[in-house]
Amino acid sequence: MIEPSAFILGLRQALGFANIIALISGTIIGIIVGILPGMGPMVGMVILLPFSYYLPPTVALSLLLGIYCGGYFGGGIPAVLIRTPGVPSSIMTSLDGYPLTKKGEGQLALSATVVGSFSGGIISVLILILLAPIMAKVAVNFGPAEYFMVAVFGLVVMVMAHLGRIFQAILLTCLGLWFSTVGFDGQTMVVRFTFGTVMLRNGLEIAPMCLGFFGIGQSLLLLERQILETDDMSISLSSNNLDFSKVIYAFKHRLTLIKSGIIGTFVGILPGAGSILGSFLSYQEAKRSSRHPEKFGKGAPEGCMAAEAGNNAVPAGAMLPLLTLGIPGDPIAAILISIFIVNGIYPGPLLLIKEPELINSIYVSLFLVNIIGFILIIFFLRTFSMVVKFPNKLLAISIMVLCLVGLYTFNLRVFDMIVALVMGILGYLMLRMEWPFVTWVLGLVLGPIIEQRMRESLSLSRGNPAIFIQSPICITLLIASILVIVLPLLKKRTNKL
Amino acid sequence: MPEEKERMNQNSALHDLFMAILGGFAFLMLIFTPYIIGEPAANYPFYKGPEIFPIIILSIMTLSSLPAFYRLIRVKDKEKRWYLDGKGFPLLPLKILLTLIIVFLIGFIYIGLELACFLFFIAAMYLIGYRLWWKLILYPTIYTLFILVLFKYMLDIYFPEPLIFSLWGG
Repeated sequence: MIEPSAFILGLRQALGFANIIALISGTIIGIIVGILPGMGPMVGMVILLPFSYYLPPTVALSLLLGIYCGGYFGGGIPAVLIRTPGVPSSIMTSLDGYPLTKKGEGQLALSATVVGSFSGGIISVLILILLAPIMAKVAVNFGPAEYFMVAVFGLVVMVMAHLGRIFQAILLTCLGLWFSTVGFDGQTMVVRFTFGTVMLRNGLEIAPMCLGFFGIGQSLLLLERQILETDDMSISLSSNNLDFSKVIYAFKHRLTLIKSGIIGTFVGILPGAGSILGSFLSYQEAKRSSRHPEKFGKGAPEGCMAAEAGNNAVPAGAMLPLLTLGIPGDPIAAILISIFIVNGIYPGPLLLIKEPELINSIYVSLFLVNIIGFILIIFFLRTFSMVVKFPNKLLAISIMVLCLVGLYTFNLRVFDMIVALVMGILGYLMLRMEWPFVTWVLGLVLGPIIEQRMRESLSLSRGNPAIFIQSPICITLLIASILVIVLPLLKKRTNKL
Repeated sequence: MPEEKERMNQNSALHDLFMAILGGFAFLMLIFTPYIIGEPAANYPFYKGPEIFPIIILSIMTLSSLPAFYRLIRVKDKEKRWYLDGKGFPLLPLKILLTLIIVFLIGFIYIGLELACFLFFIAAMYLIGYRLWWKLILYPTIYTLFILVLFKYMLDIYFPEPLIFSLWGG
């Protein structure tokens, strides 16, 4: 499964000084952006994206993985202390965490949250290590038609996850797909949709688009929020570190932790499903199998554990389709794909064979991120929690400047800053209107994969679209896509009746 | 409650207007795609040419905006409600955005990174409510120094010479 020599090389790379520094700083930044309501790991990652291009791939990935996982670690803290989830998926944690805090059991709630995050993260990495070679073996047999169908399935899942806003989701997905077509067409070298602009010939790059959309757009939204003036945290947290007896108590709920970690990982593997679903399903399962389901929602520590284990298992789960198929499972994984591509590494089934060192160093880094996050929160809980009191508006203008200057360093072009500003305005409007903007990101990232594989398939079949229903894998994916579309619609109809 | 809010947002004519604008744009692109991409595309069969994918996605975009067009046309003006999200006009973000464009972006080209960053911070902090003069000087100074050290000295990034210098130099 794992070659010992490759594992040792990967381990050596992961334990290198630069890598450890990147992991620690990434996790600290991740926890901070996770704690700050309205920020989240996505914003943290896009701010550091331009810097990461200067780093070796393993160090850059460690930095971003630190933010990715650290964000979910941090998101649960304000959910428990002030009922304000730092990341949307921590909303399930607040259902039981906040009532526990109100009862004076803040330490127990936080211990359950941190232990949940840690266990979910570790379980999901183990599943990733176990499943990645199997999935890569299956994916080796994939032709362009299969890749096309997997990517389309990802988009279908993502769109259907926003059933209440389905037309907006379709529009935004297609807008992302269309943006990906701007510039030189790689297969024919024909220029598309540049409207005579030389700057657009290389296409719209993901960095300015995402930095604008998430960095500037989110900052503009942050300007409208009030500073969280609360003393709840000072009351709830009498010391800087967590009570170890409560941490040990939380670890005793092994079954809940393992089940939630597994659920979260599989939700992460599913392209487009996201951490909110992971957290929700884990919580529901913990409630269903509990001896005291009536306690859920009123202050059950298992609720916090399950929700956090479910959402922190998603990052490693999302790495599975990314590493083995080259298809990101969620928008944050889509950001990671750009790090690979900038360094000339193309994720796919051959990555496990060609770059065993890198793969193993990613596995070890994912382990370390969870351990570092766990230790940091246990010992510096109060320090981190106070971050929530930082003036939002000042933070927002600082992020805007950091985004724009950071972006300039990427290509040394003012044009990228203009693109980011335009995308920032668009992002702000989408965020305020609560449109499902994540579908736009996935469309943007999956666009080139879908187009290339579609045209390759059609070239092989001389234009016959039947190629998309010829192999068993394609048929399975087609049926799965149809079910994903039809089942929720049927359920909605039945509920109305 | 969230469902009610969602329904409220769905009913807002502004949402339909945005969808219609995107759909209208997609429709225009769809019509003009053969002209925009031009003659080189004719050298390839349609199924492997550069037009097939944009045409498919622009068609889906146009189709998915049709319900919004329908609602905009069918619903009577009196019944239409125009709001972004019910939280009022975004005056502060608009002011900050304009300051960012005028002071920072244009300033970046004409007066250089350092001065543009410093002035933007003073202006933006004033707009968000800071009035104490020492705060208006201290924070922009610290932040500008941070940006300078990080980008110019640590990452060794080349920033363009302020245009105003060349204008003075003739």
